[in-house]
Amino acid sequence: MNSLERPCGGNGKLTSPDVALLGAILSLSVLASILQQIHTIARWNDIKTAQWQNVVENVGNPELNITGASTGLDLVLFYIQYYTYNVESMLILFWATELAHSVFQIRSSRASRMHASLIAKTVAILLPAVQQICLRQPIFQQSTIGYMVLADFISEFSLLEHSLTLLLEAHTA
Amino acid sequence: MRSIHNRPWPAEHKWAMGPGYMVGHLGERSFITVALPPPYSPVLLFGPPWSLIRPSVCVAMGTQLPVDARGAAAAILAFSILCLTTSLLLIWLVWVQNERRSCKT
Repeated sequence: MNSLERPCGGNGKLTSPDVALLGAILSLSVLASILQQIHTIARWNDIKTAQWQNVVENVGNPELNITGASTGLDLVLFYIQYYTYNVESMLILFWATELAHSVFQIRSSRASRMHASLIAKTVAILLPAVQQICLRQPIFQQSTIGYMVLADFISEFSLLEHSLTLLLEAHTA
Repeated sequence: MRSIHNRPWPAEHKWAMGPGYMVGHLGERSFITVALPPPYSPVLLFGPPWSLIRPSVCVAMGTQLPVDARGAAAAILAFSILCLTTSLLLIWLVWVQNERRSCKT
């Protein structure tokens, strides 16, 4: 079967919605980065002073490990970028899984592939948002190890899993 | 009525700032750069793009960034704008190509 004749979704081929979604998330990430850079250029002294006060007032808070002591607008822009990184990693993870599905020729109906693709995209968008909400809760900031696991598990798991999947596919092909 | 192009500019004041705008003078030509008011002055809304990275403009805009770091900051900002342009171009290309229709079922 020619690759162009395969049905959309679930065949391991990046389709237009996949690329468009990745592009939109990437654009949001870069836009937040540009805004943060402009803010930093304009208010360098104020930002550094606020960061120092934040560090002094929150010594031992594990949030400082990932946010770099950012406060206010910088903190919002940081979390937007953090969210987009996790969404991108999960989208790539699900794409690698779909590719494995195609490489290993696992039989399934087109409807089930479409549903799986839709669920995967929904999870990739919602799960990092839930993670962000949890990261802001004081109860999750009481344990440094627990907080770091919560902060990194999506990106670390996605990186590990899709790397192993692609290596396995390359070995099989 | 004299236009800004005919207005004489003192050598020591090549840039004049107003609330949200600047009038610049480069060589024989004068131009207006419209930017957001401080502290977000580096956000260029209208005007020549080089006015964002000219050191004299940065000083005129009152940025708090140390002088030594302005070159690197301008380069990183320019690269980020390039990345944003290419990612938006990607979305536009997907939209224009309308690949969804060409994907046979």
